[in-house]
Amino acid sequence: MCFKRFLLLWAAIIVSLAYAQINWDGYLLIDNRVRTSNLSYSFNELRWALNAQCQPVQELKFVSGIWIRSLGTKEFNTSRDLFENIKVAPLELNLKEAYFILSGFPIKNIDWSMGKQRISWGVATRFSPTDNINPIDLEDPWDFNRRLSVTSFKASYYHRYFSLTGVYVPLFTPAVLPKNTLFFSLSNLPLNFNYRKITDTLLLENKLKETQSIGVRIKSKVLNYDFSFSYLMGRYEIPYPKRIIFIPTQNPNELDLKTELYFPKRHIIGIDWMGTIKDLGVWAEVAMYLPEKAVLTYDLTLLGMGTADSIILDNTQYFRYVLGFDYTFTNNIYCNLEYFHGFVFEHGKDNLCDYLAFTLEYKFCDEKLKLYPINGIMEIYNQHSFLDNYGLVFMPEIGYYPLNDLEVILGLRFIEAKPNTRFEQFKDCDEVYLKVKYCF
Amino acid sequence: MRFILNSILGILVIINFTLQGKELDADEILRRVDACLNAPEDQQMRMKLVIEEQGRIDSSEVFIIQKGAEKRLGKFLAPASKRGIGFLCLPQNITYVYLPAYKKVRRVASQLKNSKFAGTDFTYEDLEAKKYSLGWQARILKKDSSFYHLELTPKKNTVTFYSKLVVVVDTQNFYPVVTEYYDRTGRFYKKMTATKIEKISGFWISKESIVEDFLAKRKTRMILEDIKFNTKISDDKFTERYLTQ
Repeated sequence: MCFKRFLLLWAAIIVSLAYAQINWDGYLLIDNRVRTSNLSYSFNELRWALNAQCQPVQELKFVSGIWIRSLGTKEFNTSRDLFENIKVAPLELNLKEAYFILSGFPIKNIDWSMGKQRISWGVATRFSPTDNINPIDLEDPWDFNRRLSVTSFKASYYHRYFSLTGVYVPLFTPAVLPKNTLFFSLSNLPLNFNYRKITDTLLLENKLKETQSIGVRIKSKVLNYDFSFSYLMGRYEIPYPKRIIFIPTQNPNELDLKTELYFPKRHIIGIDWMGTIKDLGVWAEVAMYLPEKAVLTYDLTLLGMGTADSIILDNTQYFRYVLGFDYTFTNNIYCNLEYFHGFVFEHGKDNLCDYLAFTLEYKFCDEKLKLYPINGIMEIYNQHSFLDNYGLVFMPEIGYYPLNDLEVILGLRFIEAKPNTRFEQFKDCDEVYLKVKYCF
Repeated sequence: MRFILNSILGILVIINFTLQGKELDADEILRRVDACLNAPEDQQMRMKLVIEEQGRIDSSEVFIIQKGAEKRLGKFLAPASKRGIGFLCLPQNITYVYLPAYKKVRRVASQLKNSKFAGTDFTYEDLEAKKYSLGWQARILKKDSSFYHLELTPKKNTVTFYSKLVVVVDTQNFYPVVTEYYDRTGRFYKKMTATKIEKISGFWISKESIVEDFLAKRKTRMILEDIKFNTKISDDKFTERYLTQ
């Protein structure tokens, strides 16, 4: 019966694909950022996002999206480069997503989706500790919400407000990290030398057993609140050093470092909850991480000194969580507050900090203007001596919407951070930004 | 025998005339308004909202399905910046919003009811399916052969951002022709006029309504197209599954 239904569906797909109407939409985004300290460009992106959707039959939908981008990066260094168009005006093409959704097959309560897709779990507005199927994309370090789509299979069973979802990701995809990310601190190395050259190799076996992720989520509604429980087995998306080999050079004061990096395995058990209390929107998420032990070996054998091990990720569980509120006032003012323990790139029991993200939005002039006078994230590195241990990214912003499909955003990013905080590395990165987006 | 039958018939005719001649009270009129507005078991339509302001026109388009008075699912078709955004309203003031850019469903608090829908002069509350008799206390202001003028004030537990409504109801079909809105301070500031009331598949509906915001000095026109009634929309459609697809 199922096979017959499958054949009929397949025949219907083939016939109707020829007549299927493809719906196109997308946007053009111009994003320019200038450092206030030296008036230099810190980010310059022109992005053309193009999405196509096609639904040849009721049960089948094809969704795809690409980004064509010019990142304004300097690719020319010699006069020879000026003869190459791709170096003078480099372009990038990213396949953001491409997947099918097959609904109601073989029974009406089951949906399937296959392909490169974003599977979003969790309820938080900024950082969801239970949202771990898609790795983070930190190419733009201020776009914390950006995730990479992954090739995956998803099956969901629905019964009214109850759903059971299973996800299988056969291939491991690591995170996209900001340029010049260091995976270990040079100051923590056992030898105090000048390091001339640091090279690394990423280790990952090509067997399914090593590359796959498997997840399951149950979602339902109890007493007007939405709950979900999830489990995900996979790997950390940011690499950890496994072995650092110290290599002598001709200069006795200098060493080369050869590093092997790998992605430790982890299990994540998550719970999320959302609802309303009176007029207040509320949500919470807790994720319990169960990592495998990550041991870093310092290999000093080439220096005639043997090896030494150090645990960089213990196999004890740790928790990341979020608690959020939002409220809409009667005079077009909206506020959103989220307290979270553990940033997207923070892992390990002793490496998690506390943060408070806040937004106040005011719409006026018939919603043609949106002002964000209070908007940002505060890092609470040490609660006991807060004034000496905080980091603040403050981002007031104004948006102008002259037409339905056009938005112009002007903003300022001001960063204040005390030593040893996470935001300290961005301390001199104050910038002004202008974004223009046109949707079509 | 014939005499008995004629007598019964005569009595029934007298009863009928008596009932027809009886004055309807405000609550009964409101019940009949509800019956008129909620007569179809389910409905689906394309709703076009056109803002007319200083010679410029902005428009939004939403596909809506509704079952009864409390289940409603809408998806934006236009403008491009909102395309794919969905909302799902369920009993007990539960509202979800789907944001395709983040592939996330969010719960929104009832305060959102006061927010302008897609930047128009309609609020989410204005676009809700109505069952006035449940949440509002009615009083007849005046009546003539064509219209009843009712003043509605919210009952104790009614969640609304209006202190008062004045509704003008057609005496023939009990369809609300004009609704005047008073804010929480009691100030009259908005008026909705149903301009194209038609009977489709046996049900009354206004295919075009105009809302005027006298404070913003703006008008929004709501045009309903492709209206279908009683197509047996399944309850399963009013779930997160369909909101996200």
